[in-house]
Amino acid sequence: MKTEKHVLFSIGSQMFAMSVADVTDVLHDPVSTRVPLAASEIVGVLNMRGHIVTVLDMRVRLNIQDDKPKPDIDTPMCIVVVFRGTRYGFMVDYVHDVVDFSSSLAAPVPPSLDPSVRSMAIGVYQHQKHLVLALDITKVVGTSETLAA
Amino acid sequence: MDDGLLQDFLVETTESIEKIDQDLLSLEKDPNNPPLIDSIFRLMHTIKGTCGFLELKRLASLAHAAETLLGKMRDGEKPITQEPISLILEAMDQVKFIIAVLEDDKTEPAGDDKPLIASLDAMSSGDIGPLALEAQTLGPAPEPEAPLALEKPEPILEIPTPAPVKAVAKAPTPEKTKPESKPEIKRPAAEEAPDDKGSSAVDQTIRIRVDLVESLMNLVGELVLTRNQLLQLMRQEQDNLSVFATPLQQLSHVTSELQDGIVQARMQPVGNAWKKLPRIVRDLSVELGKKMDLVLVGEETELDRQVIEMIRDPLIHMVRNAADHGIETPAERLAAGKPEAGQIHLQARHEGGYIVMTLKDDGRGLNIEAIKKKVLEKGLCSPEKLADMEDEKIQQFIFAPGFSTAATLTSVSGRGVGMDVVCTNIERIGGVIQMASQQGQGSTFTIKIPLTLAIISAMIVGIGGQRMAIPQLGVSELVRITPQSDQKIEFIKGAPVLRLRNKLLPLVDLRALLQLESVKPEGASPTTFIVVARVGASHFGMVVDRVFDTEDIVVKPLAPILQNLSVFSGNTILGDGQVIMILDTNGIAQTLGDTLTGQDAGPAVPASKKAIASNLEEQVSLLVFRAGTKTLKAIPLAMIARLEEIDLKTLEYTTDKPVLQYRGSLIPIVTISGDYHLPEEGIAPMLVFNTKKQSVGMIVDEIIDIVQAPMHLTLPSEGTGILGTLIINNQATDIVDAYHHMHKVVNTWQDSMPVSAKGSFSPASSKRAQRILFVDDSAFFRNLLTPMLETAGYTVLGFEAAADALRALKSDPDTIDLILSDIEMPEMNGFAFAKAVMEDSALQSIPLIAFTAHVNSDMTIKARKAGFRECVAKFDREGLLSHIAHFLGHHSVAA
Repeated sequence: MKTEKHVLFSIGSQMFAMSVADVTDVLHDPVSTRVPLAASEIVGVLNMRGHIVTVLDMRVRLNIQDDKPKPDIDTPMCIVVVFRGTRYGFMVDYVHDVVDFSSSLAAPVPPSLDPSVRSMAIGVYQHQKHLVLALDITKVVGTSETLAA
Repeated sequence: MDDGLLQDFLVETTESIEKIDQDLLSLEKDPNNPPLIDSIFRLMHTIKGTCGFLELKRLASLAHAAETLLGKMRDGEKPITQEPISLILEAMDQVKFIIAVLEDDKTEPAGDDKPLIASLDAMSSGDIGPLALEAQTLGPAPEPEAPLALEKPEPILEIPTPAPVKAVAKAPTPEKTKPESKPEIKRPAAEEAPDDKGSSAVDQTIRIRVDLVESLMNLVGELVLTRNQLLQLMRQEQDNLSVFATPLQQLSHVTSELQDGIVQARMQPVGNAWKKLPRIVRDLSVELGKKMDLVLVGEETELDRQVIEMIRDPLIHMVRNAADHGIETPAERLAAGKPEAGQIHLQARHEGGYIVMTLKDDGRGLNIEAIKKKVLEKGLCSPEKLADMEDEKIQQFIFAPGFSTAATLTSVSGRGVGMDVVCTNIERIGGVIQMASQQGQGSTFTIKIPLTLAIISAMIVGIGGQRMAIPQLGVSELVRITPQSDQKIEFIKGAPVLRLRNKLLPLVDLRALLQLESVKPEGASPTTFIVVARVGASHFGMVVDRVFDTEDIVVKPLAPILQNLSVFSGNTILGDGQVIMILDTNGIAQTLGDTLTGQDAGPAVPASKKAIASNLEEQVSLLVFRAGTKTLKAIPLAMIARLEEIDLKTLEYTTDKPVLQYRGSLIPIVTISGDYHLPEEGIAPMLVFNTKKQSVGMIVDEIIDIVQAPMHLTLPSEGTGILGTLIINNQATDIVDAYHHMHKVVNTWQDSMPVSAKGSFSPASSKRAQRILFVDDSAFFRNLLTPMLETAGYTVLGFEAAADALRALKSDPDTIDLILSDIEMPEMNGFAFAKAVMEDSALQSIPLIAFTAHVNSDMTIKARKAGFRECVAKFDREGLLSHIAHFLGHHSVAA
């Protein structure tokens, strides 16, 4: 049975997961420089140990509009990944844990999901009574790149 | 086959081939150079030997045939002329082709080179015809022995004639002495090569993989940033960290040296990018039947290898262009009085942190008419705009995408990749390309590129609370605007402009462009800065809030998801660790669009097409405004010192005449028509004119536009205060005589005149009014200046043509006290006119003043030579009056 480590994070009340394979860092409430004229999902650019990280707001990226962050979470977090040689950061409300998911346990992505989000999702897992939507980094960043191009 | 061995062979042979290529070209120019042909021969011999050793049959056969021919040439049996050299070059091309395949496939391509070998052999034996077989038996067999004699003469003798190649190829194999024999063959070649330093340099160099240097470069970049951060911390907390001061300083030094060193390691002579050029020019001269020389200067100038890679192709393209489009055929050149052989001159030199390359040809230059036609064909510009455009601007169209001037496609250039690609490539590496061309005289391209791409010098500016970097390369100057300064940001139809040295500079408000806070941050100083940047031949200004510093920054590429933002070229990390964006001046210039390309050519509609065609020079920038009546009015922009907006409540009155406190003094205010009453309040635009002692303000209702229009007045003036009428943008527009209106209010108008002129103005003067002869083909200037000179007390005789003026002068030489002449006139120009005047003994004592649109040192010298005493710019009313007064003062004393 093939298992893969995933990092669990939440935005509002929804939990998500992505493979840790490409994750290099998790930052607490990082300060970034705004990029004028950039798409709304781009928070800015920041310096992480001499590398420039382009930060995306996952709330905007995943089109989560009404779901405000929980009041007890006041410092948002940033998951840094390396994708095709470029560092990207994903701003999320909270990063919970790293867990093993077995791909055979993945339930298919419900077709009722917002199509733009569905295209980034790989499957649905269950974790401690929560439903977790697993995302494909390639799609998360790749779609943004094609949008920009 | 052993891969390592093959790899060594490929590297070595590629180098040898390049050297042979270059040496052959030198040999062609300098046939009586035995060491040179020896060197070529030896290189070829080495290639042949090594190919044989590696059993590369095709290569060996080719090299052998070429070597044979070279041997003949070396021994003086075959004259060193273009034909055999062409043939050997062709053989080298084939060798290159085979090597390219070899590199990919590790084996020689199938097929053979019989026809080429046959031609080589035929050439060797003296027959040009394709008598391959015969030639081979006669020619090559005995030949190779000479060079091989030392090594292995025997095998060749044993082998029957058709197969000498094989024999040679196999010769070294049994010995298995490749490692030893290689240097033996090589060394003499290196010694006798034109560059004697070669052999010793070999021992001092090592080969390093490019990616290793690249990764070192990146690491050094990181180190520089970390160092900068440490220094920043150090500055902030001086006392607590003082124990670190010394080691930190040390670290800083070492880092800087390391950075210099690694940058140095990436440096290569620019000549590496030029290697192919002599060959290209030579081939083109043969193909196109033109004679041309390529002169390379500064090949040793070093720059980053990455930059070299980036400019290699653009340069090749430009040299091809120069050879194909620029240089004329020998017949055309002789007819034009030029030397038969055209010259293409490529020079590189260091200038600051940049390398400047100039590519100059003495060919036919750019054909403005052809460009215009093409521009219209491709719809790159509207006909109206084009008609008003300066030649220099029109030339810039060759950089426009999809533009190529080649009338027909030749094999040489015009393959659809034009100068736009060249331009894009150069701009991509932060470079700037400029071009100047004069029809019949040739073209000059100037490329300025940074020495290295990784670290650039940039200006750190503040815009709406954010810091950004502007690469220094594109920045030409920095203008500071304070509430007190003379310069102000003005608006024409809502577009910000800056009047800078009598030119209107379009501005980009970066805060607005980048959609940052539209209001300045609280407590910010009221000073703004304008960073003037150059893009092509145009300049524009970027409005920023602050300028911090210049800093060497390490350019980091934008993440792919940000690369659609054309206003940024990258990002970087500053000393304090913050990431900032690097602005792309080219991208920002594009947001100006038409404003920039048509910078000095507004949407003017010509008064008559004919006037434009006959005299493009006569374009004048006019400020169009409305005042009093509905009729549009205009004043030449050059006469207006400033544009202001005033609050009408601040107007005061002295003896019923409006005045305004302006910059610490009281200035009189005029309106266009006397019966027009100024409104009591509100904001009104005001044109400010400067006389020598005083400014005069003219309040108008509304500023409409700035346009370019020919100065041919369609309707000469009937009334006063108006010089005439022009049609601008399909509307009749009165050209206002500003002097007339100024005269109305400056009751001490004479005070603004030079003293001696005032004397002559006095009606009490018993002397007759001094007479000035004034030649100008432009009715506009005659209309403009005649009243002015008459106001100053002179009698003016105006002439449209110099020939008429000369006739009048000769018939009555004593009546004229001074001559004022335009330079650019049809038929007889100002210089010719002055010469004619000076040749006439009765006239030569009359002072001559030249009066021209373009005054520069060159023009002044030319004017002086022709006999003019002084050269005055059109519109320089003060200068003109003072010179006239000066000459007439002296003149009358002398008389």
